[in-house]
Amino acid sequence: MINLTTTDKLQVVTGTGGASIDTMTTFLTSNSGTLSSTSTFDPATTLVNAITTATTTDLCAAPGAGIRNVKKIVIRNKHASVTETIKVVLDRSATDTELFAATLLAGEELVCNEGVWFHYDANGGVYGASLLAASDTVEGKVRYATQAEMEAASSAVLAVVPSRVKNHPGVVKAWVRATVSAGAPTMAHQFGVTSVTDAALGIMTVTFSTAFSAVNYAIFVSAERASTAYTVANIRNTNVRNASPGTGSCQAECWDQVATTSNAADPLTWYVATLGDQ
Amino acid sequence: MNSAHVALTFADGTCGVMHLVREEPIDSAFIEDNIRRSAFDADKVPVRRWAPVSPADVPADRTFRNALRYDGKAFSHCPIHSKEIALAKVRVHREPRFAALDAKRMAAGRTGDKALAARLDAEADALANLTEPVKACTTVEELKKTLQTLGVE
Repeated sequence: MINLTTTDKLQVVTGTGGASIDTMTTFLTSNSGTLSSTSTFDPATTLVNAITTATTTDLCAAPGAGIRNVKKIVIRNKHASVTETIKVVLDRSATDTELFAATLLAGEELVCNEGVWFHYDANGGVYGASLLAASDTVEGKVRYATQAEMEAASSAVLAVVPSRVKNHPGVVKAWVRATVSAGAPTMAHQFGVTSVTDAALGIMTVTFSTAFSAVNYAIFVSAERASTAYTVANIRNTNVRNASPGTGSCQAECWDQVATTSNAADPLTWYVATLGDQ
Repeated sequence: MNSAHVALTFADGTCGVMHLVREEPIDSAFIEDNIRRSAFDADKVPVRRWAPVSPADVPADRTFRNALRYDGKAFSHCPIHSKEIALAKVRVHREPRFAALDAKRMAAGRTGDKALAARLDAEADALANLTEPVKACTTVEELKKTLQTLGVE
């Protein structure tokens, strides 16, 4: 409830100018100097203003006598693009007391109903209480990390969405589990890999969905053997093929331990995983 | 997830088989982009041509995998390349056996056991001649059978 005495008036201070501010104030004025159950009032009165400059404007003047009870105040920025800073003050004998302040974006409005203030956005939604930033110990608002922020890997307050997990430098960018069962290479499971190629006996090319930014990424190659026997023909050694890593693909190679020169050989299953910046 | 197999004909005449996957339909542009971005040995690039194939059409036997060719219609094995592979397998197979025979032969020489030395020489000759039946083969099937007969993996 806002009650004005004969030395009080309600004003709005527009701090920026250039916007288009409409105001409306509705109030009752009592016929006596006190309010009681027997008080009588003049009919409700409404004052309106249209403000376009940085200035101070009366929302409700002081009553000549008695008490003026402000029922409703509306301050709306109807400009299409300009933001205005708004301050509502109680001017008591030329001394201002600030009651409420807000920044009204284009299309926003401030409403006071029986002394309770609401700040509406351009879509009619009411602004809520300002949340604290979330942290390890505080519940609050969070923002999703961008790709660059994921790659920086330094924030302890940003949130991670599933599609950006792969952008963290410590996360595998692409992996594949492939076989050459019955002669045809087949990706049984994969992430971030668009193709595998059986390029020759014991040589598998892996092509990534997203190219790495440089060839300084890490590759891990492993293989499942086709037998549990530890004979030289059943041993499977794996490597990254010399000079094969490119930004878009790499090659894995596999060989047995027959004789001193070894033979290129297929594993039962290929496993390749990569880490680095894409 | 869409999936496709493609036969690649490399610059050296050998072939590769590529398996591609993606959520969207697999079209020519996607296949060519994958080929362009894929790492292959220097003698295999550029890829001369590609064609979609069924995995069932790819020979399952990997004995002569590197001799595999694709003519745009079917896979086959190059007989010359297959024979080179078979000969290489025989040489790898006999290498440790030669080494073992050499050691025995030197021991026989030290002890003066001429009978043993002669038998070991005969074994070495037989080992040296292991490539002869391979050289005589005219088909890939013959090569495979000969390797089996010789106990070559």
